[in-house]
Amino acid sequence: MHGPGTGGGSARKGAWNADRTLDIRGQVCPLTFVRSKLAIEKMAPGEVLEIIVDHQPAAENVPRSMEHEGQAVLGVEQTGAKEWHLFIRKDRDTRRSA
Amino acid sequence: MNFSEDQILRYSRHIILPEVGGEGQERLLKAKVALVGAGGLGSPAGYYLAAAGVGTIGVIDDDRVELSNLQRQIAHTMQRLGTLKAESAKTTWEGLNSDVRVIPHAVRLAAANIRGIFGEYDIVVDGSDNFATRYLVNDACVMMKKTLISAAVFRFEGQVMSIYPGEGPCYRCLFETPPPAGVVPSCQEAGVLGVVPGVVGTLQATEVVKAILGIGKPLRGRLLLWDALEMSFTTVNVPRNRACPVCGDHPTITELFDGERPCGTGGAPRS
Repeated sequence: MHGPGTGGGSARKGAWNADRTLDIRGQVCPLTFVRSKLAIEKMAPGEVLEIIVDHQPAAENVPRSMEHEGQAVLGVEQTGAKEWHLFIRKDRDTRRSA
Repeated sequence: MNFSEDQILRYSRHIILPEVGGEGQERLLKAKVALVGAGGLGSPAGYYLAAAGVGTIGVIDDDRVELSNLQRQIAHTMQRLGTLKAESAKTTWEGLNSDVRVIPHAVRLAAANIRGIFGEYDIVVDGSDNFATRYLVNDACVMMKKTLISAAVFRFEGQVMSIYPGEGPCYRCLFETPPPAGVVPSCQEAGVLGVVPGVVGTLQATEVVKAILGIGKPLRGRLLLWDALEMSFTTVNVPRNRACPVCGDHPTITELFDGERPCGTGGAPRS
């Protein structure tokens, strides 16, 4: 697993090789988690979701809720006074067989 | 599926739950549930199923809204007195959630029409108020292998049992035949505290949602008894009766039949 880039914005994006980016700046809890969960449900196990938020509680709560659901939090990177990038790897397939 | 913005907001508290998620919500939206009766039990059951986004709800009731119903039958309103309960419930529930299609069946359930109606649905909720309908619904669900959430209320008490044909007992395993006519309280004797069917119908809705999502432990082989005055819940284990006339090893009831109607009015199922 790679660590977060240290050389600034350009190195950051590829640091975890996100397979999908969800920009939900402007959204607040709990919709931040709702949208993140819907996004990761559609991804394959092993894929990485990058979530961009500007709501501070979401930067803490979304990773915690993702861990609770069995997903891996690779890292949380603050990129501005009010901007965070959350990197979540889908470890658990939440889809149950019908 | 792709949820609309409105759906993401509407169902957000479901989607958050690990046991539901977007996938579970999608199951709810695709589910088809039939309610027998839009009365005391069917009103709260259908209300919560509509709120939950159960996509297709059938309402079977040929009765019309009366003032004496409004003490407990919360799907209806004063403005709709005299209108068909099935239509009144449709107005209420579709007004609550436009994702839901409510199909009114303003007919009296009978051996001749029950298969055709139940065939359109996955799960049946029994909110009937009379033994003839109750046994007809049980027998049809056993024969058609439909999950049936059975319930009844009386005065300050209620009971619920979930019937999974082939996997647990049916209503006839519990009570093989209706009680003799003299033992059954007449309509005049059988008052009910309005909130009692509210609680019990809501318990039925809970069992329906659990069944659709495939979560938790259903009331399969267990009869839940609630006493509102004591405020006590009790569950009694009910074994499947291998000699049951409809779901036993050698059933003697192999055809559906119509029983006697209560109170001689021919009224629709109501509670």
